[in-house]
Amino acid sequence: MIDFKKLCQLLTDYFDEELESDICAEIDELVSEDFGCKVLFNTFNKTLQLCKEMEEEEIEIPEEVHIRLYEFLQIEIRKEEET
Amino acid sequence: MLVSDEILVKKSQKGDYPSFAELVKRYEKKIYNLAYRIMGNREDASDVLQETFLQVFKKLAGFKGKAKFSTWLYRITVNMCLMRKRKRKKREIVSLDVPILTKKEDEIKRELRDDWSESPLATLENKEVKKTLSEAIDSLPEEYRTVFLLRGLNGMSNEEVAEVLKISLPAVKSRLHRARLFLRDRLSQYFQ
Repeated sequence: MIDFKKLCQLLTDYFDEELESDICAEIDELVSEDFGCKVLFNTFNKTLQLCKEMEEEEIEIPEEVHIRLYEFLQIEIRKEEET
Repeated sequence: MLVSDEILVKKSQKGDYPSFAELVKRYEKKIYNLAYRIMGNREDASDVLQETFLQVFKKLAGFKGKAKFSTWLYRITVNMCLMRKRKRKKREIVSLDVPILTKKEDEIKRELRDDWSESPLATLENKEVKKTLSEAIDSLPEEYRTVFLLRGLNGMSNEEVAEVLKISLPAVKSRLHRARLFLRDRLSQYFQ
């Protein structure tokens, strides 16, 4: 039987789709009937969504960093060729 | 057709520098992003980017291909970042058992107030929410943050993260879960 405490432990597995369907169904039922569980479930889910959005915000490499990387590697490759 | 990493690695190992350049081109943005998230600033991210690819260049000949090239590359990046951080000792070493992060599941209280997930303010367009989340991620202890970032940022599976960090799968799952609970808790505090 899943209760609030057990729900806390299962949230990541639930949202990562690593739980059996019967356990998922039990969680869904609990969440629909218990306000505290619903708040936990919804806010955890929202946190994951916000994290995902943040992760999708790629940071561009500044042009000078890109150039510096290639110049640096060219020097190292040249050194390698000379040895 | 896209040439596979494996082929580019094999060519690079034989001294084909354009193939190595292609690998750099393919991964430089991912490595920069990972380094930036772990280090928290552009300067360190740039240095880690250079050091990582230098290491890759030097060690590529000995790469046997037992792991995927990307796994090996991310492992080098993470190690570079962590070494740099340890050297600086900017962050205090935090035991995994310290409860700053780790409100354990049985310590989480039922919340009977409003469900903030439905608030129109719960969006990254809300700069305060973005800042709160960003600071919460930054405040995660290193062991948790690295798992969280690898899992999210590079879309890796739990198994791949375990391989990159050389930790067990249950450890990855546990750290990821506790990190997520911690972030939820921080956001809940903001919405209180």
